[in-house]
Amino acid sequence: MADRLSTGVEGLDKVIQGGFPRGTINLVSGPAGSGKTLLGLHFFHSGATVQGDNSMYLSLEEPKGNLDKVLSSFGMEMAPFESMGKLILLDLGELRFADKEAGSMLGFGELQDFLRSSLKKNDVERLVIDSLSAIGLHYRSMRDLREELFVFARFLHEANVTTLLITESLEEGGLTRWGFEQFVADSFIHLGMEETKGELRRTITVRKMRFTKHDTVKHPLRITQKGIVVEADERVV
Amino acid sequence: MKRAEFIEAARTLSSDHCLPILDCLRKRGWLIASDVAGDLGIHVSTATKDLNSLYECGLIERRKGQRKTRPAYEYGLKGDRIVLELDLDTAPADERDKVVAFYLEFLERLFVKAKRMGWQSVERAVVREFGSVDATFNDFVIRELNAARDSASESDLRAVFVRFMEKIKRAFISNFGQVATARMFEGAAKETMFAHPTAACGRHVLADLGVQSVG
Repeated sequence: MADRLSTGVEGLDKVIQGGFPRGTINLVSGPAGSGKTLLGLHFFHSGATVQGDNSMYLSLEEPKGNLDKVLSSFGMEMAPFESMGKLILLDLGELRFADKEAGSMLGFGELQDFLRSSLKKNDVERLVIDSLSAIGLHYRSMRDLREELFVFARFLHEANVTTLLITESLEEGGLTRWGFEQFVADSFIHLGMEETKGELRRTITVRKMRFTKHDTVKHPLRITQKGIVVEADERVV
Repeated sequence: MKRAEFIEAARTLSSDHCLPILDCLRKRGWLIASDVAGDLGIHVSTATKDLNSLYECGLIERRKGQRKTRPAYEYGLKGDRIVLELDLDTAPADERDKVVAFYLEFLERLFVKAKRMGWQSVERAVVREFGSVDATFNDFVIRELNAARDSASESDLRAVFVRFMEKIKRAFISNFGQVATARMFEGAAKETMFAHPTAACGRHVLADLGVQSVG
């Protein structure tokens, strides 16, 4: 069993010694359009297609049909792996109610209840949760949110699954939606959008990764017909 | 007697010739259609049709007899008294149809949710639970509910539905956990109640499913 799980993006793997360390929690943040979901889909898809891992992608806001389209538009085949149970893409938006009295959004406790059944049942080794920002809407206070996130992170560690958590960063704000998600994660990758000469340029920076020698360089990230390309040998200046 | 059978028997008995035919059979014993037609002065085809209707309703008996040149059915009374009993607890047919339509729509909505949620693993669990591999689970449930439809009161249909849902719920919980299952069931039930606001079974469905608001 490999110690590292490929992210599905060659250039990023090169920066982090081949991939995420097995069993770790990895956080990806970035503003809208920076490529967070696509990076999550690369990690998810390459699990089954490259390393033979069972992978689960939990979407809390994006309908499954849209994600299927994204996968196919970048040439990532889904159907045969889905029918074998190697790729499991779930739309947890189905569990949201229109009436707020009943609780429109899932919280970490509910997500944990769901994962307790489904991770083991499906022998899941890779998990993507897109996104933490959606779950945060469940909580009225930051304190509750932080405590629940901490408990959830412990659960993920005990479940021995390699997780990619996706969170937003606001255009004018900090690196993450609430400012503390990065403290429960073993690694933290930030995707950026920078304006240069009237054009937005995508970037990627590995800010933290336990058990890994990595640079902290801001690398260029491009989205091509085959998906994300990270220029591991280049830096944004 | 079921509602539909009662209506059919009453309609048959109230036709022009059926009571005279019964009188004729009481007087003369087992007869073939042409004997009855001759006695009552009606056409043989009319006698045949009415005798057959009385037989189909279970009001008279029939046996194969032998006349000079060919075999023919003979008809006779079951006894000297005809009693029609109606069980008023049996729901009218259109009401049963509404109940079945409600439950089927609920199941359809639930399966749509489950498919979006990653149906394939649940489907395998449900098939294991029901031991049904020869048809899709949807078809299986529809067949069972339709089989219950003809003989059931509304409460019988509810019981059939609840029995199914207990098994389905077990399969869902083992894959999705308690909370996600409750949310899916409740979401599907609420959508169905919205689509069928006048269906009486909608009042009980959440209690029958054993789900409650979560979140």
